[in-house]
Amino acid sequence: MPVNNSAYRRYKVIDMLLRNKMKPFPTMDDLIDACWEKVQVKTTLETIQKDIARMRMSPPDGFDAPIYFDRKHLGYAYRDPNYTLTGINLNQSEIDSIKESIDLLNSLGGTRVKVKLKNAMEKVLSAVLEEYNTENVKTPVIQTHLPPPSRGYEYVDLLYHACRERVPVSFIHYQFKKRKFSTVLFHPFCIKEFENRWFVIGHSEKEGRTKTFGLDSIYSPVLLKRKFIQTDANEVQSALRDYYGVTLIYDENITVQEIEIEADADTTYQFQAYPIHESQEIRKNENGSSIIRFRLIPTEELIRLFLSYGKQISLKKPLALKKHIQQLK
Amino acid sequence: MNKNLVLDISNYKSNTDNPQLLRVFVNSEFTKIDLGYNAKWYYEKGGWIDISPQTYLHVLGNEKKYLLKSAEGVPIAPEKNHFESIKDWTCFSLYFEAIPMKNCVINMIEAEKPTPNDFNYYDIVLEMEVAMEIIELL
Repeated sequence: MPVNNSAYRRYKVIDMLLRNKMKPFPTMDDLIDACWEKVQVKTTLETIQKDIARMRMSPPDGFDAPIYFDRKHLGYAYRDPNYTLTGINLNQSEIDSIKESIDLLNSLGGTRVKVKLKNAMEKVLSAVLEEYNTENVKTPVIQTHLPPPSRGYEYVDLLYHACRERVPVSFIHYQFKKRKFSTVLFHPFCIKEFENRWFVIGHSEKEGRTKTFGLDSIYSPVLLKRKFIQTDANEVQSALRDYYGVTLIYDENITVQEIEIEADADTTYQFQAYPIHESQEIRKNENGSSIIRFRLIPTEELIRLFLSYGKQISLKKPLALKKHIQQLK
Repeated sequence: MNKNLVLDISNYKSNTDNPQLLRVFVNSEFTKIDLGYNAKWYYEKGGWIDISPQTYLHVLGNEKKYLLKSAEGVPIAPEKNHFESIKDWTCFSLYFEAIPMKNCVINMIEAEKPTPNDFNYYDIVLEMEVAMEIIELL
């Protein structure tokens, strides 16, 4: 016997009133009024009586709700004070937290991982008979910058699975600058997002070293039944910690470097307000300008950031990076 | 044996490397070949690409033609994919009838009397012992 939406909403209201410890033993009139107020449908005494009878029925027809009429208080109550209609007892704050999480998830891109998480959360909400109607949400309270998905973003789910379950992957790689296709046998350990660009980091079996690929440059990844090559833990840590951005400027692996820039007062303020890396150290001069130091592996993204400040900053160290930037100009 | 195998054939060398052969997928249902193609600088806006519906695979020592069933990323002639610039490229896949899942040498023939513009490849060596098994993501 299916439950229609209106009845379902009335059950929620009745359940809410019966569990309200601030005002226990609601009367029939309380139930009728509350249903009218919350559901906005005219509700009669017979309807509520039928609802209570239905709620008392055993599953799947009902909810085994231990509702009784207390003659002393002339109102209804649950015999078991811990009973809830669904078996999940969330308070309002917990329900609000789940709703906020769904809002936050909605502000992220549309991967299958996100959809699964969102579905799971909405399932919990529905289990406590709390509706989450996205049509009623007018303006998102939390908003993140969300440009259209980039090419290759559709592979995030597969690569996420590969990283989590440690499954090697075969894919085609295209180097746009060299106009060169290649096949890659890859053992990924991490997917990284930087400025809405997605990358996968792992061990390249052909090259025998850790590499990073932009998802925009890979095609047709497939999971392989093959022994997974674990990347050295130190390299994993370094890949996650020692970079601003992702794309290495040199082909060979290089170590962390002391990078030093001189910044004018305005730029110093920007770096102070928005540090770019945890290794950032600012030594201010009297006029507000500064020397800023980082311990990082140089990347294209770091160079782009420095160049975006024009003459407001100048690179002091290391010399090799300084020469590299001069060649770009 | 209902395995789905993939072989890396990117080291294949021939007179033409455009399109470049990249991977071959072999299973009991179809044989798929992945290729990569760079638009050519000497054609206006990079020219165009298509694949003949007569394209087939030929396994050496066997007269059977394993016919093209479908294509992804490249239109089957007379449809054409016109590039917009000489810097364009495409990755595409050709699906053929399933060849035997054993060590073999195959030819991919787009035209039996080929011009330089046809995609014919000869003597592609497929060694099943170096093939890798694919896992489907459910």
